[in-house]
Amino acid sequence: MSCDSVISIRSLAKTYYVYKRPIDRVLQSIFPERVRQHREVKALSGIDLDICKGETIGIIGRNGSGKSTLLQIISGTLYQTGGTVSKQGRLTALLELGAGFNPQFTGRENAYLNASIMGIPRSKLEQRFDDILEFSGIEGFIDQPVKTYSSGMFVRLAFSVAIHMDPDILIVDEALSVGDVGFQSKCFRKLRELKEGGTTTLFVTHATELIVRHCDRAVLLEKGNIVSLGEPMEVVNEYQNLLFGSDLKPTLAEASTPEDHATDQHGFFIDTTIDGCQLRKTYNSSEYRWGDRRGIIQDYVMLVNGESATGVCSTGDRIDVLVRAVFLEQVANPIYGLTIKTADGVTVYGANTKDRNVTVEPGGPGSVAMVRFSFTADLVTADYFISLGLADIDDLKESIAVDRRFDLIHLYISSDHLDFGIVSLNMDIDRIEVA
Amino acid sequence: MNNVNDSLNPTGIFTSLSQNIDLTRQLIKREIISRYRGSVMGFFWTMLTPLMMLAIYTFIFGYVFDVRRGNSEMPDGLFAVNLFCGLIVHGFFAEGINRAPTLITGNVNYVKKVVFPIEIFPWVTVGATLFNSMMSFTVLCLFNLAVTGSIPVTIIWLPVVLLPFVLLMTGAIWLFSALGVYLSDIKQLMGMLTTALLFLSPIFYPISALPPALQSVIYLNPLALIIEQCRDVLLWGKLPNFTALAVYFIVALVVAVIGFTWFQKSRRGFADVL
Repeated sequence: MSCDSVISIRSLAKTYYVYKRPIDRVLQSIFPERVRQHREVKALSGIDLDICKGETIGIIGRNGSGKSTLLQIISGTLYQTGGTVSKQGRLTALLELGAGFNPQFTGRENAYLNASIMGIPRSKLEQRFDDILEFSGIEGFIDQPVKTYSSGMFVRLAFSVAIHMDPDILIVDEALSVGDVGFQSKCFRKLRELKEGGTTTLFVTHATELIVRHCDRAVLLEKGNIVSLGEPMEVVNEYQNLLFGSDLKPTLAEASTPEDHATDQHGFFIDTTIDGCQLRKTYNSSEYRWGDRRGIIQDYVMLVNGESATGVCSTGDRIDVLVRAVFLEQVANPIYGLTIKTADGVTVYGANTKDRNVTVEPGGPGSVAMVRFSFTADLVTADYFISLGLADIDDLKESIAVDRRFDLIHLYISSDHLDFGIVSLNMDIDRIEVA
Repeated sequence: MNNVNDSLNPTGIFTSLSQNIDLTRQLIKREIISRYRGSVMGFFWTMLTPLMMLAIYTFIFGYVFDVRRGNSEMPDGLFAVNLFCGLIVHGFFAEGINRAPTLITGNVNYVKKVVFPIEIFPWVTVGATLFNSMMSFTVLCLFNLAVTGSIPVTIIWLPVVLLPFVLLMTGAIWLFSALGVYLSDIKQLMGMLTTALLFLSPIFYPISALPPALQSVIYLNPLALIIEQCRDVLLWGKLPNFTALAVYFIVALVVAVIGFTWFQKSRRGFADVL
């Protein structure tokens, strides 16, 4: 990479040594010659990375992949066990917003102390204080103790102080995922402003759409190694693959299904005694399931444009979700429903058989029913969760949950452009000739 | 410059302090204020607490027990003042040392979450406790003035007496705060040590009351010389023993260098264990 490099990392490694007895660690640091009994945990190994001036880099990876360790070493709060990190310029790290704040003191006092921790002279802070106050939007509370703040106010003040210190390098660990949407977009506006002024930004987040939208390059970490580095979109797609443990190219689910899990013509597992949902690649293991289980949602098949899905699809694809319910007891008036939600739980869309007046058979012990939901994925790039539900209506016309599986299916939708929001409205933008 | 001083050279003791002097000053101020923040009487407590203590000592040791045996030449009210002077020095030391083992473990955020020169924490602790001790010394001198009608001019030598002591304490805090991160036993040990020092120092008794064989041994106790010297300059109007203080200063400097070096060497592992 030919550029004006501000951070250059060479074969960086971090190994945690876990000692059996605490005294061993002390002895080891005083007398390094003799090696004492310990276990090694490799958090990072062989990291090489050059980051240019004014670049915005996003770091993604699964939990425990070493993202935070890397940021902490670059920040200087953690020491590496091998390799080198060289950085140019003044660095501000937001590893945790408001980490140095004391709840007993007022917002103003904390802002001043925070600035001097970051090495900012008092005079400079005084000069910028009005900007900080305005950005944080907590004017009326600045002279109140921080302990009286709502968590949103706290975060806004902390971020506001950090961002107004004109850092050359800004390091942000998950901190942007806090605050309301309005404040978040304000933060990103400010980050862009800083970037134009030559600030290099590194941030870690699980929100892949933020990476795609705001970064010049992205780094994918897995088990302490860089497995991918480059275009944010490509890196994010690779991350999705990692999460799903499968290839991007649609492979038929049937092909990889073991013999004992043979499937029928729809793609359902023939064996109705197993929970087929859990065997699906798109299954989200942190689903939330409830209901009286007189019947169960035993299996589903998801098709993208008529082909078996891997959990990644594109905006505008036609998606079919086939649901199979197996009844154990009498369910007189079954209702089948499907809801799509964003990763932060906003319902995008939902529908059910009752409101659509779709006739379905009553369920009885041992009976099986199948329902197909078809829809177009007109959604912007993000992670989405599909919930499936089976309910019954009792004599009092109340609906009773039989088997509701919230956030059962994980779906990543990617788009060629960076449209934002939730719904893709197929917008066209043209230039109109001036006559 | 990220405010982090990694250097292992001994002069780092002072360079790290001078580089971060503003921050240190702010933190000391905050530490002092935070103790009384939110209370109705606020800052008044810093004076009220020592005043109350002095009143109790005067009553208990001046009237309830007659502990003035062998000190009959001492004026009536002055026994309590003499005792209080020793207790201030001991309290100063005990407060600082007792806080050492949890100094780093209690400030995990500063180790892991912000880029922060943690080596200044001992200075902050010593600074804040020194401030409280100065408040007590003020009460002491005012009481002395009320009893004897004057304050000795030798009071101006107090900083010279306290300087080596402050250095020694800071060094000890560097040592014990770093150890305390790895070994939680240090905390128990410090409690024991400070209680022992209360009785092993010439606070309740003058050095002259000890058997002659022990009289020189007691100077191995880091508090003994300082207590005696404080009494000399604050109460008895004597000049400090400059030779003894010079020796003490050199020892303190060695302790501080060892403490600082050990702290800087072991801090690399702080974030790993916290």
